[in-house]
Amino acid sequence: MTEHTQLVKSCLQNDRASQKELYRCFADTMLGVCYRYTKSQADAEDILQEGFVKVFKNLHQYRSEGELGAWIRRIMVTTALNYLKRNVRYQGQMAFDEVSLHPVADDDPRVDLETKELVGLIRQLPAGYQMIFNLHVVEGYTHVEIGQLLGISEGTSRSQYARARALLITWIKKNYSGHERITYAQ
Amino acid sequence: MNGLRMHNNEFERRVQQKTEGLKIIPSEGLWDKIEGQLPPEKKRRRALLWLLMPLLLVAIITATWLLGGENDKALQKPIAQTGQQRSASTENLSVSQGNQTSPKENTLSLAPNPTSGQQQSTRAIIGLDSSAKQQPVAKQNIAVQLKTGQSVRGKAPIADNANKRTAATQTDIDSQTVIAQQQKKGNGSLFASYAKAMRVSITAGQTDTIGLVPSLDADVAMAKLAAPLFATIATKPAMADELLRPIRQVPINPLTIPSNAASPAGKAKSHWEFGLTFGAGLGIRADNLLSSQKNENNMAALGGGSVTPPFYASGSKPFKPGIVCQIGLYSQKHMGQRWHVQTGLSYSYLSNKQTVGSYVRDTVQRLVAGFTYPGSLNTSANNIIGYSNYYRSGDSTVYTNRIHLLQLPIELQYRLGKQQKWGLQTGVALAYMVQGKMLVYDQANRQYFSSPKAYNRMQLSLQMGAAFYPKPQSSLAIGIRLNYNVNSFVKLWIEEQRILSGLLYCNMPLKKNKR
Repeated sequence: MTEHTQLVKSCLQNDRASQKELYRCFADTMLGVCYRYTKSQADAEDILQEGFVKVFKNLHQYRSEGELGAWIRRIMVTTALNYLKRNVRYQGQMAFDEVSLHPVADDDPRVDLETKELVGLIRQLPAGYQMIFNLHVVEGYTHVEIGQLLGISEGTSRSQYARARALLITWIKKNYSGHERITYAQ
Repeated sequence: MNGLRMHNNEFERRVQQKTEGLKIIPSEGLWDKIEGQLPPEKKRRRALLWLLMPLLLVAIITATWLLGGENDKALQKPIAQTGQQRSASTENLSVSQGNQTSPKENTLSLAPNPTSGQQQSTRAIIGLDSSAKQQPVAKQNIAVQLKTGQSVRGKAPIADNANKRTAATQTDIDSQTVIAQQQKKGNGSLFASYAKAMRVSITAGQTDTIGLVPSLDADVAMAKLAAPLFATIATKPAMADELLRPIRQVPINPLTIPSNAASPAGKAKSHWEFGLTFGAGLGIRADNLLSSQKNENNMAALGGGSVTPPFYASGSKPFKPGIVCQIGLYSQKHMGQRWHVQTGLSYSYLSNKQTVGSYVRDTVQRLVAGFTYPGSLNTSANNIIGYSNYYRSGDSTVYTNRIHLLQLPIELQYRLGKQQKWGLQTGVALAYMVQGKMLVYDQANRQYFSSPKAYNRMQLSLQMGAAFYPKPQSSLAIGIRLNYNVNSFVKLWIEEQRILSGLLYCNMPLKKNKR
């Protein structure tokens, strides 16, 4: 049982006020999730809208023993992935090369950036890198799971992640170690 | 945020900590957009009402049936018990006889009860004196004006001859005694004829006219009613014929004669009547007839969820009606004066036409995955469907979706009208999909595929209709029937597919019901 059990029950009865309350509780956090996967806030809001509609229509499948926020978050993530897959603007950056395992860089820089700056850097990654980086680092998916989600091999996921990580570390070093700021050009 | 795996690596862990707390306030109009895509509250209630209506109807019918059964049981009780429980009612039967020396006063009359309203045509005030005023008396009391002119109120007298008639004493009526006495005197057929006519009258619901409540045992009532009248006319066969003539002319509807008419002490008996049913009509996709939800592909979290399939785009009409036909055996039972229950086993073929794009023969296996816990990977076999050949989206091909069902319907019928030649029916049907060939939309790949794994085999449908019964005593019927499957033909995590079908059908009895 969670603190949102009653709210969920009301939402299941299609009570509009409860649905709005549920939205109000989670909208800003979930928009933050969607924002990390997109290049613009408008796209993030499109995903948020689609995701919440999906949440309300599938709320009967939510088991109250789980954390409601985590459940909604997973829906937002999968909604974001599908949004990116079918959106033409992202498709050019979504080609995953089938490559062999790629060693992860040993660099382990201290990350003293503010959240906004760090997310800004992640969002500058190519969409494919950005997606895998978010799935692995932020959402905690394993590479096996990412491979199944995106229809790619585990090795490809690892390789893409390694590249994304290396690129991000380079940018962090350059931007926040006294070097001139780099803006990633597509 | 709970539910996230923490990393051992310092870089990943710190990035996770930094980014997971990101909150961005959405623009103000976003909720309005979301609300616009949610099912309206009001219509949902209406949908619930739609679902509840057949259930309510079935409940009412069941209650009526059960209460009717209680009344039947009450009919078996002795009059001494039931009579005390009856509410006060007025008995309008007035048997009067004036001066027998005057031929005019001996004229028999069968006058309609002016206060009986709709049932006047079959209600009768029986009097031996047309000039005698109708004399309402208390229940079970029969006012008998005998030769002497004295009026007796109270329990009707038994008089088996003229001498006893004139005595007109208040005596408890023993119907069996009356019957035995009259049969002994060779008047059994006359009594039976009268009793049968009166029984029909009572059974037809006119009991209030003659002062009897439905719970009164019909045979005892008959005896009570017939006794004084019979006593009066027993010695005058010509008068009896004259009296019974109009009664014999009362049309007797076999359906109104209770099944226990031949054996007063016996329980009501009803037999199953068997027959052949067949019908044909049209069926059309009507996916959300019972709900207000915009139809959409339900491939949920993994498949992209709430994107409306192309066939539901505004202005698009890709579905056309298809042929529906049905053949099977039915069994029908008479449950009361107007109620019938029908069940059986039938085969149904449903179809509808759908416009799609070109057909593609492909060897690449595609997977359509669903979820049980949105967002989570669900790789169980039940939630993943594979297919290779498919149809593209488009409008170059007309595909016929076909469904073959074995149905087990349970239907209640209510006969209307005096002749009961019309009837309404409602019920449910449990069905098993023997075979199906329907296109399902794969939203992720934007194409149509067909796979038996995508279908729901067990089906429940609602049905209602109206019929004409040329022979009311038989189950022979010609009617129309609407059928709508409550659960989707396709698994809900993929898509909702429902068909509304309308049939013109005919029921042909194979064996006549012996009632």
